[in-house]
Amino acid sequence: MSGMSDSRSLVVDFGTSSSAAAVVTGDTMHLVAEPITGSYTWPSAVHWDGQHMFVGSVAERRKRAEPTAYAAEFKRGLAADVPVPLGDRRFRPVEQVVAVLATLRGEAEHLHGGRIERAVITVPASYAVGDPRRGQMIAAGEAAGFHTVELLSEPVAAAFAPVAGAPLTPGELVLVYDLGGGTFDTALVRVGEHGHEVLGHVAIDNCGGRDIDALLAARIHDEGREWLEPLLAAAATDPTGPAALRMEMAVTDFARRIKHQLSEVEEVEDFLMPNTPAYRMTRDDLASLAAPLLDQTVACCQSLLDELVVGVSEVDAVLLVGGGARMPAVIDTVRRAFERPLRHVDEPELATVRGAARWLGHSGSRTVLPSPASDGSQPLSFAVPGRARLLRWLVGPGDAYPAGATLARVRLQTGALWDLTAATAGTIERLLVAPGAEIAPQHWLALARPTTVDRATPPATTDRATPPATAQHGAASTTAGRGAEPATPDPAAGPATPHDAAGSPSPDPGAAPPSPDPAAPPASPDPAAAPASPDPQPA
Amino acid sequence: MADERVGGETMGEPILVVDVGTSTTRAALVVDDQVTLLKEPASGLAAWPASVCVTDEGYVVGTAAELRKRTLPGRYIDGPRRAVDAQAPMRLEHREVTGAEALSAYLMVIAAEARQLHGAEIPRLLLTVPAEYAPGDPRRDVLIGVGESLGFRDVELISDAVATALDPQASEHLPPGALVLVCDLGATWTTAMVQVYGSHTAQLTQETSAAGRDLDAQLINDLRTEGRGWLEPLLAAPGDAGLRAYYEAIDFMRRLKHQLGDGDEVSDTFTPVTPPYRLTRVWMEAFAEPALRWLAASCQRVMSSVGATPATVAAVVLAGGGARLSMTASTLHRALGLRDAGAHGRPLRRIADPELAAVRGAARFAAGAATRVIPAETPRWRVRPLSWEIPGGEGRLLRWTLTEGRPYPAGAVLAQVRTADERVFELTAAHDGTLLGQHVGAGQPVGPALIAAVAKDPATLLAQPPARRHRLESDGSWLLTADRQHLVECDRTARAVQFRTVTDAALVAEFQPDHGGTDSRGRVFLNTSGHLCLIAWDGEGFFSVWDIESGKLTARFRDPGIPVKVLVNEAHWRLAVESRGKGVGRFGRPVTTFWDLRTGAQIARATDEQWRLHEPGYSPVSVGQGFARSALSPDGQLRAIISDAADGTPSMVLSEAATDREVFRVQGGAQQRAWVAFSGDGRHLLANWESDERSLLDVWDV
Repeated sequence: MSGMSDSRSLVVDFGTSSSAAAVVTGDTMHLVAEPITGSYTWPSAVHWDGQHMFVGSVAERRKRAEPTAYAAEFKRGLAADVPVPLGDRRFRPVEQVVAVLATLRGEAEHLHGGRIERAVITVPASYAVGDPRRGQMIAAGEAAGFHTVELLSEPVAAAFAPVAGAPLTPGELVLVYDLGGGTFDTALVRVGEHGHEVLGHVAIDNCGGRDIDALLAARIHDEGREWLEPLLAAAATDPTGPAALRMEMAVTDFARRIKHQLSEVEEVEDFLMPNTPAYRMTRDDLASLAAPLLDQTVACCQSLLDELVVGVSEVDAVLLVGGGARMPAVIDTVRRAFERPLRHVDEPELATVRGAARWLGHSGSRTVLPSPASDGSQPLSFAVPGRARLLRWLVGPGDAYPAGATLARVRLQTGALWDLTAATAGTIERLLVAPGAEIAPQHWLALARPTTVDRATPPATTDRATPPATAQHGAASTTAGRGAEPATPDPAAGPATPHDAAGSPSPDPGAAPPSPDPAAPPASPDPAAAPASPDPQPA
Repeated sequence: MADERVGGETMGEPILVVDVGTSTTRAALVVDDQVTLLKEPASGLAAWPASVCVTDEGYVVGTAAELRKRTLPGRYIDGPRRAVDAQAPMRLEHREVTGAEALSAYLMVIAAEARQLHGAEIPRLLLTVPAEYAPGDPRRDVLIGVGESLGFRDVELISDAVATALDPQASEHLPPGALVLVCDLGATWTTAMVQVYGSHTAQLTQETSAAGRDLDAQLINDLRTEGRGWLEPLLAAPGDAGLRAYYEAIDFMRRLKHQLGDGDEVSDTFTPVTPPYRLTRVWMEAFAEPALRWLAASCQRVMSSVGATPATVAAVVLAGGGARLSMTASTLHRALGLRDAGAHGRPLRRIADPELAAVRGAARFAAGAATRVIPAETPRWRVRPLSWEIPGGEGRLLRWTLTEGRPYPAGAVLAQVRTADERVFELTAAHDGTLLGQHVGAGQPVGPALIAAVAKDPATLLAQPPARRHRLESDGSWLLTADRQHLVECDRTARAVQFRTVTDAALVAEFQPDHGGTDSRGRVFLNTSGHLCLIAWDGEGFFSVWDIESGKLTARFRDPGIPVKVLVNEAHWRLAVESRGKGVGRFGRPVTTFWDLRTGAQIARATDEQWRLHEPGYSPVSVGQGFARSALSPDGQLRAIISDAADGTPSMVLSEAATDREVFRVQGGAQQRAWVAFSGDGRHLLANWESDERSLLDVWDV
């Protein structure tokens, strides 16, 4: 194992309606409990009291007193990124996410001692590469105090969740069905010996438990019109505060309570308020209410299988995760739709965070050692005048070339093509720049291994008056030991470094002097002048 | 030049050169240094009509298109590059045609002719582009795309102003770097300042106007006015007939314009049954007046925009069809005050076949293709690459965890990379080292490898000493300019002060003071304003002080004695001369006289040999000269110091500043005094070894 075994990480499943987090150190994982409720699921809710942002159950509890200072489901607002009012201020959704992440981090550090620098945050599969919400989640993680933030797709995480009953067998094809509070995600996973391979995944935004709650609340409004409407009307005229909003929240909470109860019993009878009439609902009622939404999830799974050209019969099991997995209607729908064995996880709401923690251990080391240094590998750079673009390479990795060889062709800003040549013989080890890239002097374009120069070999560019490989001004005097110096081309001629052949045949475009000042030809001090006193020598 | 196979490429490859004009196109095939003008098979002329016609069978171009325009005037395009210039498609009678499509069809025929002539593939195309297509102009990409779509592997562009300036007739015998004013008077009129530098020839500025087209429009209007009775009915004819008449009127007018040339009058009939139309030189001048006014003003503007004057312009080149109108040359003469046109060396160059100037110049440029090479830079001595393979092959650099120049221990995390799957990897070091260059910034894409520049370890550096660029020798002394990019050499007799670049010792300036003394001595010092000043003296005790930058003699005075030792206090700009008396019999202790170098006034005298204890700051050499006993490189990574052995022999020792580990050492000679410095860009280490006879200066690449 490895992963980030050398450091502690916080794994966060930041959900639309609830979140969960776990501290992972090496092979061990500890879920972070909410201090007030002791539960491992934290409501993804915030409350601004004018000075502090409260998160989780505290926010939930304060919402009845100050409903306008409360917000939940802000994960859905990330795409639009419109600030929403909370009490006396407006907050961007990402700021609310920061508050949740910072609270989770604070609690995790409090429980486990010491700073936690790294985070893995799970995101819906619908956050495709390039989706700005990915950047927002990373930024939120960094703003919450994490130095390093990784993202992980939710269904991928869920696929790693520990399954109830017999473990999944390597080679099995498992369809992950993840109905969360706000989104539905599905993934097709091939179970492996050490890790799973995610073959594909799809998601539907705005298709989760909260949407079922909303449907149920609408139904309560509709069916309880007789007693509910007078209450709402009275609330609307209440001068003391936002009673209407409070009333709406109460109805939504009531709907959720009924839904949760129907996971356990066939029929529910409950009261919005002690003095309101009983509201009754059966499991079948709920199932038919949720049916259109659940049909969408089934269609989504089917489209994934179609896209991957996998028949339903090839799927070995469907793994149900997310809070929605508790709904009998969901279980029935999935069983009927696919007629494949269903697999469950304990506490399906925690499947993503638990899976993400396991994934971390299976996702490989995050440490990259340098490539073994090949002896004497040298960078190649060229003093291109002004801006230039690489047109193409004329050599590739492994190619040996002589001094003076053309290695690449570039296009200058003027539209002219120039060739980049080797000053000394060598072999290309790797190309660092792709055609089309802009290049500049001292910009490393390739790594090469110089060939040991055979002094007897004549220069390759016999027909050039000034072979670039040997252009050298003011050559060193005849000091002993200097003869082994490599030939030094002249990188100092600035924009005019490329040499034109001096005696090129007519028509002669090659009259360009290498010096920017035509009046000042480079003066070469006499290299033959023998020193009169002992010369300084390299020791 | 012999074919030479290098890097899988044949040098001396054939190049097709095409100058697509608005009315005619010229093309040439360049193989090595052989230039062959491409003749149009249909006409046998080097001038290919710049026209295409879209027939039901496809495109026909050139003369064939000219012939078809009578039958299909609604499908005729005058100037195949026009839609590229306008950046809008052309609406023909039956469909829309983009500029790229029309130009591709046109060039395909020229390319086929060139391939047939050459008998083989031609991999490279050089296209002239209007001077107004600035670098970055998207129309350049259109032209490159057109060339590539025709199967040319390499498509090169050259501004037609640059090409014109490179025409041998335009710039032969001009000194390198000469400024050429190009007036290209085709359908559009362009003025441009071009600096001629062989392959580095550059267009400095340009102006383009529709003056040429406006002149044609004026002439057409005149034709319509004069021929109201017979031309208007032809133009007003419905359908193709009216359009046909319009195109023929344009051709008629152009023909007349060319016929007028230097003459005073020309006359012709539009059709055999229409009355003759007469165009006189006087009228022509009147029509051309706005265009000529623009030309004169534009020449002044482009010259002044680069700080040039008619006196500093080496040649004025008149090219394009408009060059044949005598009034254009006379306008330039008047406007620029030029001397008479004619042979080489005269400022206004009128070219034989001015329409061919651009293609001839472009062909000359193409012939020099093999010389346009940029050799690899010398790898930096201390630097070696350190590379990491990015997991998954690509990612984005999240951050560097240490800044350039910082050392790191083995196992340290140097950078973090976020891969496409949002995992964050830590790139670590296997050994101790120093990060010298990051090459990639945070947030930038990386892969398949990330390369950093790190320092070679000191043991490797000691084993591979840096290359010495050069050694300079003087019988005088060396200084560095304030920017530390130039060396200042003052010879012992103060005859000359020379400025050389550190990098290649190129002489860039020289100051030769005017002093009569024969046995003079001198050195360069820095005055309190930071100016380099030459202080020279002779055996008679005459002292002269020059400000080298202005060349002005700022002070002159005479010390009564014979100078033995000359010391300068640069902070107070004073001079102390230790001298012995001249008179016979007056011997004894030497006398020191103090002088104010600003005014040349004597300040004080001292006979006390201990004066230097009370008056510190006097030195025989400049202390603000750039050389010192120790120096830190500009990036703070290297320290060079001079250490003296017990016998006084100096050594120069170069060490890593952070670790103090030695990386290079040079031993000096006995009796030498030594100083070190780094060049301003930190690329060079300099050591100055001075003995009584000479002063050596070594420059190494570090």
